[in-house]
Amino acid sequence: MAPTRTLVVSARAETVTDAAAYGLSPLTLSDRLGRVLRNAWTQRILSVVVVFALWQIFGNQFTTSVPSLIFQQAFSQSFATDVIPAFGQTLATFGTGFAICIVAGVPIGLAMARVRVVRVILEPYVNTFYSLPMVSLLPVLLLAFGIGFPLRVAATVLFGIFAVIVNTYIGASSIDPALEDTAKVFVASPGKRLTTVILPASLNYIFAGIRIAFGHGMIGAVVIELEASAIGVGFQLSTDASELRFDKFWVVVFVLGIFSIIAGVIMRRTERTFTEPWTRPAWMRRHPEATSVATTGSALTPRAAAPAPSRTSAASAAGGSAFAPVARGFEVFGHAINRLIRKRWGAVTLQIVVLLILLTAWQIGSTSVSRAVLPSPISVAIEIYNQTIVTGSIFAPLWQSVSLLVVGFIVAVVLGVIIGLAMGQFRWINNVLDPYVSFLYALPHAVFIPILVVWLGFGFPFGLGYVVISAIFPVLINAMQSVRTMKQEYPDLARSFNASRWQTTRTIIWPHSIPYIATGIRLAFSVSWIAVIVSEVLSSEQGLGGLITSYGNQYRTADMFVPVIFITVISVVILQLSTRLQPRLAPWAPSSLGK
Amino acid sequence: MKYPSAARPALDDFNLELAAGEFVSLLGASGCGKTTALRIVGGLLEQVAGEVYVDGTLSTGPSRNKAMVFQHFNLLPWRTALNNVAYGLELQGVRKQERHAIAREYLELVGLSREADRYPSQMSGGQNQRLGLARALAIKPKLLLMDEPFGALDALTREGLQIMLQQICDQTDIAVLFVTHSIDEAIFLSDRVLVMTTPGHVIKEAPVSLPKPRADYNWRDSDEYRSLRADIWDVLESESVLQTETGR
Repeated sequence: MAPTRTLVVSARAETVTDAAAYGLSPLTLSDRLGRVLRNAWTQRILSVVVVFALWQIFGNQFTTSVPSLIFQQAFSQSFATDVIPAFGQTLATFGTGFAICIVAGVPIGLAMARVRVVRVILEPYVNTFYSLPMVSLLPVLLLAFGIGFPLRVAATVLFGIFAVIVNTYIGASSIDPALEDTAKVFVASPGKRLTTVILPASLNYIFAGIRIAFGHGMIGAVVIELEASAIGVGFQLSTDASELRFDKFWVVVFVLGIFSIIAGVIMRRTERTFTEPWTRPAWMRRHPEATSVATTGSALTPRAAAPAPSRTSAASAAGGSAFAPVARGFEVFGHAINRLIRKRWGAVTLQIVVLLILLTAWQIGSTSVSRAVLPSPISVAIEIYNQTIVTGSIFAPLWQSVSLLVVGFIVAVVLGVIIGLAMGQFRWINNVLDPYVSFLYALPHAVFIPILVVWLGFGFPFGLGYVVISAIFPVLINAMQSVRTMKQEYPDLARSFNASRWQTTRTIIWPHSIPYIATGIRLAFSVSWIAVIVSEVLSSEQGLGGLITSYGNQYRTADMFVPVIFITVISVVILQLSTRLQPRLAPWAPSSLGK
Repeated sequence: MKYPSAARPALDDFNLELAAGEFVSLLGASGCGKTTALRIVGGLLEQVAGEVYVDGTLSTGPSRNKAMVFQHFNLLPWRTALNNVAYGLELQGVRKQERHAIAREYLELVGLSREADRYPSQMSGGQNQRLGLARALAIKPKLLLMDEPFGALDALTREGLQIMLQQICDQTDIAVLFVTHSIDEAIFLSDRVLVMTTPGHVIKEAPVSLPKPRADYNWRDSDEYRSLRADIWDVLESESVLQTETGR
């Protein structure tokens, strides 16, 4: 014990109350004004007013319209004759495609999660297609469907369905085994187990998938109209831009933006009525993207075991006597397959066998149709050899695409992190930028392609602009969420050690945001690649995408498959790289945040 | 932390003095203002009236002579054990080599020297709170503020940490203000137990004269423990604190 016991602390506190309620002097005029200016909605509205005023004054300096003309346009004759029908056409396309995405995607995802054979066979394809820029398949679709309604629906489905499949699959295979045990203990039938445990438990993921599918499907619908149709919003936009009718162009963009925002609200409402009562903390509800982004279909680690298929086959074996031997044969076969694919080599063997069967079918099928529609795998292989080894003609476009990817990705990440952290940390920056971020994020950003082309031409600047617009949002929103969702305890800790504001930022806010930003970066990486290909296919003669378009236009279908295959390979590489990124950047964090 | 409304003050007529080396517990039901008092002393909350003096000088915010141990540990998940313990020193601008040496010393003190390079998520709850304690002690504060530090731990881990805390306090001259829900914990650790009630004032002050270290003998078997416990229980019960608590 210390020899001299000096007095260390003396605390005397009388009444702790809300300081504002405790004898504040009457507000002066400047106090009141300050309060109004600090109000979140005042800041938002002021921001919009200022931007529109600047646009009105300086808009004529750039190739665009001004708000007053756009406003007039919204009440003009052509709005009723052009814009509204265009929206009707696009909605018909999109609605059909979106419905197919849900109706087909959910069962496929569930089947993958619950039946091992389905999983083993489909997983490689689903993974590949989910990360593949679908637009690279547009010329193929064009050849298969011709121009028309089926083509547009097919594009919408192709863009959207894999998000539904992958998210449903992840959700249904990461169900807590204890929940299923409960169902088993109460002797639930397989059907009951599906409706009472599996579906509710994976509902969050399914909705996340549907939400992503909505955005991607929208892009698909607009892109196909831009590329290959004479109707709809996409066509309207590209006509308006090419005729330099920017008043009409912006009207369509604004209406589409409002539609997207309303649709987003409706989807969130629907989701909430189904899932809100359990397990979703408030912050996830506000920006579900921040968490659903964790489910990009890469870290596919299914936990649940497939239900024994023997049960159904045993039931059918007990049925009709004439079919008994056949059913018995199926059952034995099913058992053998199931045993086989339990082992890794067995699963790989099955995958290779399926691939060979598909290639053979393709080879045989291609002989019966024109070479311009479907080239045989062998002719594609020959073209790969030609373009890589003989002429090497693939490498210049490859280099163009990859450099656009790298530059665009880096610019998007840097801007996204800076803006996102600033929005998270400073309320007023958030309020000033929030209207634009919400608007741009809700829109299918493909609508900006026509105006970007007008502003930036067809080359690298255009590609860069489009890649940045596409890829910035995952990073931005995750960075913003990292600050918003931080536990108050962390800054409290820094404060208890007397940390300065800068020290708090450096030691708490930044490191805390790294896993979130890593998630955003992972997504932005894939999105950048998709944007690179979209921009090339639609509007430039450059890169792998440009190559696809020009070969497609010349009906050199076999040649066209070479860039498609290279795009796929790069997508898979990106997927692999980006899943390894997060453990590197944030070794302390669980591998997928918010999961 | 919610600020209470003007109608219901969180603390009222709250007076407290601590001597060097003294261990004082604030005991009471949830919502009686214990944590508010602690956070005011720590400088995380601002009081409307009244003042806090530490070591003879007016203390209006966080300062170097106070350190805090949090209920849910509050370790920074992105820092290793060593860097978590060194955190306070780092904020004070202590050079890297020096602060790491000090942090190792304190890791040793709480028996975690072998875990220096692990992340908090790789350690148990008890180990986490030992880190929290080491982090607070590493800046050599005169006053240690502990907000239900063992509340999130299981019963056995909790007892182990109580014993460790008493040993550490005996070796140093540090004063501790300790918030707890547990009568036994308060008696075991404290030189003085302050029983608090809503709205935020002390209704009973109970000195504990059981000789330390109390882990060396069966302290629960002593008459003093039994009568103290009964007294405190009576006060809490008469204030119907316990009834409201169970009524929730």
